[in-house]
Amino acid sequence: MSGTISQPAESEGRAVDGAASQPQEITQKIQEEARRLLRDDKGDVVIGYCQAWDDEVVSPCFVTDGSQVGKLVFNEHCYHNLARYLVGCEGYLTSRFRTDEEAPRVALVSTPATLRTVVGLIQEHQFERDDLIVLGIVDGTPVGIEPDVTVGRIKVDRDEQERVSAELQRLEMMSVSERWDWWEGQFSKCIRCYACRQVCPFCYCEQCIAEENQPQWIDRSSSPQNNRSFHIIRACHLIGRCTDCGACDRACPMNIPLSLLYGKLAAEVQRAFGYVAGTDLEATPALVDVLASESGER
Amino acid sequence: MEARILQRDRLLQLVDELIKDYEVIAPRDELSYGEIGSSSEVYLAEEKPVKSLKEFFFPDREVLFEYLLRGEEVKLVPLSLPDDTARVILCARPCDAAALPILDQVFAGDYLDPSYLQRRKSTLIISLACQHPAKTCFCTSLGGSPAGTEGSDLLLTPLSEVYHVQVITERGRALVEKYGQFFQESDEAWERERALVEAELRERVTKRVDVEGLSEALEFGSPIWETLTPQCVDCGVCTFLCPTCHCFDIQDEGDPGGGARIRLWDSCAFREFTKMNVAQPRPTHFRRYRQRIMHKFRYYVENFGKTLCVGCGRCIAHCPSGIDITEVLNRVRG
Amino acid sequence: MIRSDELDRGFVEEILAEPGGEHLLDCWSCGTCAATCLVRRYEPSFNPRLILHKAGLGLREEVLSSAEIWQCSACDACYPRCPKEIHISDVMKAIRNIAIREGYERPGVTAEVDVSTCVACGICSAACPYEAISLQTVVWQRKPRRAAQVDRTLCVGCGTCNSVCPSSSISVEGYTDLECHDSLVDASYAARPPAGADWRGIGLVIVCDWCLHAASDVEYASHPPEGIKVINVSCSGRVTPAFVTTALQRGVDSVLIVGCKEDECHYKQGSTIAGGRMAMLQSFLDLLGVERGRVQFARLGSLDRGKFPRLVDKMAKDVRALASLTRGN
Repeated sequence: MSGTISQPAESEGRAVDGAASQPQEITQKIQEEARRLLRDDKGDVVIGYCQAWDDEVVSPCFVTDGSQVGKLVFNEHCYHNLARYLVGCEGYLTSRFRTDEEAPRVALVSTPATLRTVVGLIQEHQFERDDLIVLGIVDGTPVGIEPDVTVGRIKVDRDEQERVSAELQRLEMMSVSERWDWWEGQFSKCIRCYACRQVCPFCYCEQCIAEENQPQWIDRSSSPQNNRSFHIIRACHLIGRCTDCGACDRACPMNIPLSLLYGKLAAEVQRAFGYVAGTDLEATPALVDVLASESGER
Repeated sequence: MEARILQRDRLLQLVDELIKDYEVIAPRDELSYGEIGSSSEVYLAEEKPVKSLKEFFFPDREVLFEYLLRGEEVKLVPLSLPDDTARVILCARPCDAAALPILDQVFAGDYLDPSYLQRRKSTLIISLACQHPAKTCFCTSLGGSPAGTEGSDLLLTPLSEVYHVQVITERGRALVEKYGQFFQESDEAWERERALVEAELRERVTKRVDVEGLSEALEFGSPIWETLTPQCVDCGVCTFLCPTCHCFDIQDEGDPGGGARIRLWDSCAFREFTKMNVAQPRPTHFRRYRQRIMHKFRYYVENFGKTLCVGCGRCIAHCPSGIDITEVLNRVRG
Repeated sequence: MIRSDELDRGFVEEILAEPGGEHLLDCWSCGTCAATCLVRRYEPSFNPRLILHKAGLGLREEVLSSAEIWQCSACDACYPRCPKEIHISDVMKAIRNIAIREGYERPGVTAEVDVSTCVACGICSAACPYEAISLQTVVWQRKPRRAAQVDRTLCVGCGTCNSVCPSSSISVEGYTDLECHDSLVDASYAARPPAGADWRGIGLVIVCDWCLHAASDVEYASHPPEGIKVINVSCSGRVTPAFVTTALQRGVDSVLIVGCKEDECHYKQGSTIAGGRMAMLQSFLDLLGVERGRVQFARLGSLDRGKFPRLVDKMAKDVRALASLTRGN
């Protein structure tokens, strides 16, 4: 499927032509769409990015009024997976605390990884496709949904993919005990802040296994072995679900290279089950209904 | 002011001498302070370590006691106090040092925490003035400074050719006397230069927040909390990196033969923090965020006369959602 | 003795008309199904031949009120061997449907959902081999919410749902998380040498109830070699990575998970899921620097008598070498 670029969707009878590729153009497109949606009362909130306390830092932001639309930006610092804000007990589409009956109409600025995440969340019944207006930024890689509006095209970050591959290869070259020591060093750094979990859209469980104490599968205190167990179990809970967006890696304050763990996971799932999360809305996620999909053994 | 002068090129030699007599803790890398075995391990950079000094007084994981189970019998192995080996913390950031007198209100006030006290007693702090405060620093708004002395025993301020060494406490004086061969007397010229340097460093702290009347301006019942920080994901980064945050949990870790009771860091930001078996007073994000702000900028002030913040800015620098607490405070005030 | 007035031809007609029950009367009562039946090795009172025979005679009351009609787990080991090609589990299902209409209930444990923590992701529903789970709108604390709901007539209590649920919101009594965790902790502790003795390595075997019976090696499992403990699970598909991390973190040097051959799984796909899951976990642990030999997955089938003792004996030897590399707790 490489080389195919998803066509911009027809929107309200008006074709959106020529999606942008420069950050400033994408920013403008996002602002235009946001303004239009809010002005025409087609949406209640636009979830996107805005500049934070520094040029190199963005914050997720939630625009509800046309006057705020100018805040919205898009640039290379937009790593957060905004689908995270749709789900969970206070999610925009799934909130347990809503006082009114209806969910707000949400428009979501979606990077390619976020688009794949949205596919997964629909597969997991958290909302339906029609519940969301997708302002998509595409990069030509396979995605299981069409954006409602394509607001930008970007290039796949091959550098990052190669960096992760090279690092994984380097680890593979090490002996088993060298690998153990290397990861022990990483897990010693973990402070169990759970930033990785909290930014992850698939960690929307209202009772995380890490918080359970009947039984307590994972001890809460920060020790290399407790931390290792936490990271192994979190990764295993994400098999076939994680879209390798990298938000966890970027969120970690202690620079633990979580991209290596989740990159490895995605690669193994593809190799063993022929499955890539988020590329096909009708597909059965790996390791779920195995009678319907390939067996996973070597 | 009592002061000495330390020649620039003698600092590392002093460090190696200190290592012979003390457990020396210094910035080890961009992430944290740690014990060093030689002066070459000291890592000095513009950015402060991601973690503060908090863990050396209030560890993120501390064994309170151990217990052994033998059939029906339970045997308790009481707390063994931390080793009382004298420690020197070197090149501490003034904001990290300033956090300790604030933490003392909780761990060495009405309640005396034995291991915290032991660590405070056995540790001498030599701070190093920050020449390059970060964009996220706002210590000057909270009564601090890149060359602040609060909480330190000695403060090194880099001058044009030497380090100015301010002697702040008795303990600090005892150390400069013990290692007298490294230090010279200061004079008026050095003192004037020091004052100018401090003024210059204060100017470099560009982020400001007005705390005048802030405590009174914070209202629990205000509707503003509900829409203040929707981007916050309720992780514990801000609380764990903060030099003054001190919430903790107590857990038992063990197996049928016995185990240990552990005190570990916890965070008011976590969803389960106030969850009890019959109630959960803070089920929503806004209530937790309100608690964070109210605790730090109102309740602690009312209880102890001090703000539970030193303006180190780590919460801003490392928040995964890019939240700036000073911007939030400005909005809350209206 | 059966009296002729107990025979109800109407019952037979009802089964023949029920979807799945069409071929009831093709049965010759040869007993091949009973000879193959995996449930029967474990529960000798269960006899598929006898059930079909009684149903075919029209013994309505006796058949519908029996516990046995619920014991077939649709593993379909009998189906390919039946000389009349009767899909016997479908006939059982047809009889059960009639029983349900008459007001009978499935005895025994079935999965239960904790609605307060269920986030209705539907992973359990997709994973359930019996399609017994669906997402429904229920009322919780006076508000509607979506949650998984279990159809008790279809659930056999295999625990596959429990193993795939990320939020621990569904469980089967007997092999709940708490029960399994306690079992793991107790076994990990009990495997240790007495205080003062050398650490020669300890191992934990987690074996599915059914494959041991299939391979007729039940006796061996109750007397494993020194340093090895064996615990049971309902199905190898019930074993989650958390079981493994719990054991490893408590000083167990090696964990062996044993399940049925894929086409002999008592619960249709539990063993297949286990194989896939363990393969993923092993490659993950390999990345993290855990020796390959520490976590293993093996299969036992009905022709594998003697394999289980060999596996465990080998583990008892290997565990010594691993122990010398052990990094301790």
